Amino acid sequence: MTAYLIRRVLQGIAVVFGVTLIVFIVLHALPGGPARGMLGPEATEQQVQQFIVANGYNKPVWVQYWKFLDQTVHGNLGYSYTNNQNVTTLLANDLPKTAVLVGLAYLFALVVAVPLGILQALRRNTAVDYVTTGASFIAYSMPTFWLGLLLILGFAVSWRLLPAEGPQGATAAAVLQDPKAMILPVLTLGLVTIASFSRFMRSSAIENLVQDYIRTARAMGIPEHTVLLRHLLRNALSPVITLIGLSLPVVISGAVLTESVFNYPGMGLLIWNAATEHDYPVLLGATIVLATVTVIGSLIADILYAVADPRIRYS
Amino acid sequence: MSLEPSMILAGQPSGAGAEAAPEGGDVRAAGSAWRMIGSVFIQSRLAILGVAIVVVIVLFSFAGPVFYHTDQVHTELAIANLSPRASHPLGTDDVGYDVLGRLMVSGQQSLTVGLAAALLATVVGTLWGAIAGYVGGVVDAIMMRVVDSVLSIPPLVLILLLTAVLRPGTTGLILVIASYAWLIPSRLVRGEALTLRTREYVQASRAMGGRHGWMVLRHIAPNAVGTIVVQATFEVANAILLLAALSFLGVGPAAPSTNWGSMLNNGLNYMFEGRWWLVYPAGLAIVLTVVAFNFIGDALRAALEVRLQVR
Repeated sequence: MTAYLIRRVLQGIAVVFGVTLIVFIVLHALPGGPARGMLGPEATEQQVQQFIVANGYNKPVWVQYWKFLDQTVHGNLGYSYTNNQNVTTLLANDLPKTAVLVGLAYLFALVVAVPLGILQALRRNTAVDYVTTGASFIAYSMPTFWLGLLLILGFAVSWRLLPAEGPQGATAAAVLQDPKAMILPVLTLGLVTIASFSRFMRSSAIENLVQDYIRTARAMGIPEHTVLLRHLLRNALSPVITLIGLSLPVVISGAVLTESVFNYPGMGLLIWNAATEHDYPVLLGATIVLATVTVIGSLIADILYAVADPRIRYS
Repeated sequence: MSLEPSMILAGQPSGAGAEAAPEGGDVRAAGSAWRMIGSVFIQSRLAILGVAIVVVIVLFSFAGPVFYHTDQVHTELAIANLSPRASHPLGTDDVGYDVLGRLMVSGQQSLTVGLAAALLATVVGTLWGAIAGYVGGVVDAIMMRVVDSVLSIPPLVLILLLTAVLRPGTTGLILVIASYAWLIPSRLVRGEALTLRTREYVQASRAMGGRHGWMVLRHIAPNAVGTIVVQATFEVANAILLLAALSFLGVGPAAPSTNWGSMLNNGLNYMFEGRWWLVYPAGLAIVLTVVAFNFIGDALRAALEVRLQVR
């Protein structure tokens, strides 16, 4: 287990290191060079020159990279002149709000997808299976933003049940104060996630249902619900832990779209605004932070999976 | 954009997520493996449906404008914002473009970019993965950490970053979308290459003095072709979704070019005024196309699994 842990952590560090390299390369590809790109078109030539000297952009590339890495590790991700704020402060402000949205969407997706997948597996190749599988196929091919638009058209415009805009609180706690406005964003991001989770859960459950341990449990006369809850669920669920870790990049992408549709004040909205305004410091900083988040997420998932399923540790 | 099951499988330590074995008892091989894949594929009603939808949408987008003439170049405010009626079956938008005609023209870009990005990504990913898996060792470790690194960046964030920096045109956008789409194919092909390189025929070819380049191109890549084709189909669906997402966010290819995503971006402004015809048709076109490609990919994968079972 320790060897496995060490190997996975080292791999994770290598990946984050790789991401900083990618960002450093993009930094040099910025229109007008790194200094002009980071300072924006409004900066004077003198400011650009000062920036070049202060950040060592007149030194050899490896010195530049070292300095960049040093700053990044110490939480200095540059300054956004568009927002007139530190990138680190901006991200630290908005990341928790995105975490709330993503967390609630995962929770909603799991609560629906796990029983749904097991139901599909138990009733496989019946009308129930076909209808639910078909529905999840469509949901899973649906662009997140369009699903959001449809929900707004239905719940906000036609039936006037829910607000069309997400909560506008400044902090994660404030966002949670407005649960009614939270419903549609969570529903949007959750539904797309349910589609892929239930497909995964269905095949995981089918695979386990044909195993000997299920047959033995049934042959021993254990009630069916105990077989399902105690034996099947536990075994079919453990790969889902990995799924949560692996799906993080895609779900975060979905969050960017969801936040844009609902004007939800999280990191996705920040990234979208930065992309339209060519606010490179924010884009580069967000890339590093989100990549680190997904690496840590999948690391935690892998460790939990190894704890839940000893076979993984020794293979 | 949606989460790809194959994407999850690519990172799975075990085969835990693999689709369960198709039922239906013994399947006996008649003729070549390819013929059998073909017959299993044809037996799948969803696959046929998928192919049919793709054909209809391609004809609709490329041949449609020949039969259904609309002016998609000049704006005409006199006929702007019309609801659907006989002269404009799907209404008109805010500058007087006929929505049905616009759907056809937009489809051309959505399909072209989707297919081109998927093709490019598949070629690059296949070569990358085949080389990494075949060479192995440190080279493999470095090449795969590159893949892991890019893969750890949420796809939309990576693509928003690249579009903001490069400000690409339509061709550039194909490259930008492919810059993410090649990752999963490379992982899958690398996995195949790891097992293929230990096979006797590869060893024999090596012993006879075959060059490394020959190994990768003649023995590794062609034998992973099933996996590659299945994944390429899913990548088309993903690329269409990514283009739509980018255009919806307003950072896709600039006007006057249009795709289904940019139609939705425009429709968003008039949604609260109840102009549903600016929201439903373009969205449905995206969903239909993506569903169709996913059907095809699923059926191909099932067909491939049957072949593996008979072996």
